[in-house]
Amino acid sequence: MSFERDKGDEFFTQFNFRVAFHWYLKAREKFFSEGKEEELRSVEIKVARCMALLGMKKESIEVLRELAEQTKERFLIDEYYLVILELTATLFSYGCYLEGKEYLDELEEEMITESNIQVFFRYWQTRAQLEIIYHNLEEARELVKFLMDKAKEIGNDPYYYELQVLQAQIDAEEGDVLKAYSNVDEAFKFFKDSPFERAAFEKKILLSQFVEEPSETIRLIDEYLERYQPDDIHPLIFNAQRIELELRSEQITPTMAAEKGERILANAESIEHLELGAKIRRLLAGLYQSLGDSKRAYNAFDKTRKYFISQNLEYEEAVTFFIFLPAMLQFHSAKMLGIAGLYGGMTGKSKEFIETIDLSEEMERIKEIFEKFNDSVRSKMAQFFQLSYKISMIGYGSEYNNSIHEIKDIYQWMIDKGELHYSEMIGQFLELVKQFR
Amino acid sequence: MRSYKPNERIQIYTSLHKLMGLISKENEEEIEDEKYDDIIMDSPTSRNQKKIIKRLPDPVERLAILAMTAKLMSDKEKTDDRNILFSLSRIPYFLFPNFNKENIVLYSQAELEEVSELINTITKNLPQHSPRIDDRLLIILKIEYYVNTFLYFAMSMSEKRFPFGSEFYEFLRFIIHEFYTVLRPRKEENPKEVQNLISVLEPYMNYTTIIYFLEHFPEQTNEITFILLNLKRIDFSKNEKELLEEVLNETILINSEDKKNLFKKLEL
Repeated sequence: MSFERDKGDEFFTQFNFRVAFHWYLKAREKFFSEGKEEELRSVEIKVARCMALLGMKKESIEVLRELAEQTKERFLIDEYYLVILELTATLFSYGCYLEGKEYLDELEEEMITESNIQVFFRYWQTRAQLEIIYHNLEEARELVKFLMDKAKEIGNDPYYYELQVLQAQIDAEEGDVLKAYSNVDEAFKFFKDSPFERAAFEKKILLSQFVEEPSETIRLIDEYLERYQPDDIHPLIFNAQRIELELRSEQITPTMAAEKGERILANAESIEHLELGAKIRRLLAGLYQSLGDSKRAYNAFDKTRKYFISQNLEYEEAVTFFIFLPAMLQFHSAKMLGIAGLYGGMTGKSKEFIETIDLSEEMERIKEIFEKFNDSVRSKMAQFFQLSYKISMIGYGSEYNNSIHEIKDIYQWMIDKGELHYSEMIGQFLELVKQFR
Repeated sequence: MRSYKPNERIQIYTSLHKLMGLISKENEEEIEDEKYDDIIMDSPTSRNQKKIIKRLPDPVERLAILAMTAKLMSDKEKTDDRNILFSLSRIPYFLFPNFNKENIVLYSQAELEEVSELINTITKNLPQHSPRIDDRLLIILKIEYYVNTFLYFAMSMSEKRFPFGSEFYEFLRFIIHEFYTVLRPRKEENPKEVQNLISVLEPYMNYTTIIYFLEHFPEQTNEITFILLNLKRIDFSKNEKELLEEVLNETILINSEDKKNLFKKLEL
């Protein structure tokens, strides 16, 4: 029993991480001076968790690495496994997936049995999470289903609902957002007034943007901020999301969105949150492009891509390339027409980049990636871009007519799918072509 | 773009009326005569900063006049609310041009409370209100307010109006947290400005303070590390340095990279 540690736990469950951190550190000091090693280690894991939540990434990782070494040396297998899982979670939460995976791979699956149910669930849950991140949705679904059955079997409801949140994430990635949202909502109701409430609420916000009007999601974000007064790094993520929502509902102009984005980016950078940084940059790339600042647009695009490549996140990299593709095509046709200078756009590095890549090859590459990950909408769009590119290269003839025909098919397909944004884009293109003939 | 109804708008700025008391009769009339409208609409440059400072030498009155002008303009619907908020958020530039500790003006407790209330009103009514992120200029306003409060506190303390003790540390702790949260993300963009602001704390970052912090508020160790790393100069005796080295070596609360830099800075 420790008064300080209990205090820490109390504040932690109230999401008051800064105060919890204070008490855990007090507890640590006490255990240290009393020489209680086991308690010291368990409270240090909690210290590290607070550090990660409060934006102290490096410190958290260092503490956990030290603990991992200690427990490994002393053959404290269960504790070692817990530390590694915590370390993985910390790295994941900052978007360092490859580094996290390396640690996870150090654990031996045969050793993870139901005799230590905490390690068992956390290990497989982390694995499932990793599969989701790398867009291997079938594998993730299997894992989650296996765990859910297990949770039901042992009658552990909190685990069950936690997994339901994970399952919802898979549904959402596969495009079944409504189902995902109702699942998360159910989980949220179960967790209401429990320590997991906030996590479920966060997922609810993330999903709500796909099913609700932007204003409703913004309302949820406000409710969340008001309710939990979070002092950890999570509000950053939601403020980034809010920019997109406000932009979509025309509450702010692209210029304002870019300004806000830059500010959040500065915050994300200062805590070295790589993934959030990349995702804001992806948004900024689009914004700067629409504002005609192609230098900044390219820089943002380039840095985003580099992050996804560094983490081997093939699918996300393809999405990034896909978002920037219209800009590259535009530049390409401007060049073909000999008005590249007029089009103001690509200079310096961006020009270099676009001149060294083979656009048709790249388009084929991302199309294949989208096909591999069952993203039929984007792969069709990539195909459309390929065709429009081809048209700009070949001029008239039977091949031209065939291409137009194919584009019209894609146009219809998008309408049937309800992808109005994309169908409108293709429609405009067809209109333009008609005018030019 | 969302448009505000005039009634809502009045509600937003009601507390600004309190500032009226700070304005002289003469200037009150000039506000009515729209003498200051151009300042609100102008973008801030060093030239018009100098102009307004010459016209309104007293900083608190300057703040009050600009705020009232902005409010009147919004009531007359000469500009929309976003413009007003933006103008208000530029006030610190008029209030504290080229902020540094040499030309800082100290305010009384009552004046600071007025400023604080104004900041809260603006912050709360910004479309983007959230605990962590708000307007960049407002952040500067906030920090300048904190700096002022801090200096006020420190000055009164040196005049022995406050007992030197835990109360001071509680206050310093709040200030350090605010400085860290607000300034760290801005370091890359504005290293000079950040250093200037942090250097205000210089006289108070002594050996006793650091040790007191590490012991009583260990959760703020990384915050105090950030402050120390960004101070322009640090003076410790040889003995103090040795003791500090021992403590810093032991802590798990500073990452190794910062530790290395800190040792370099402290010349350990």
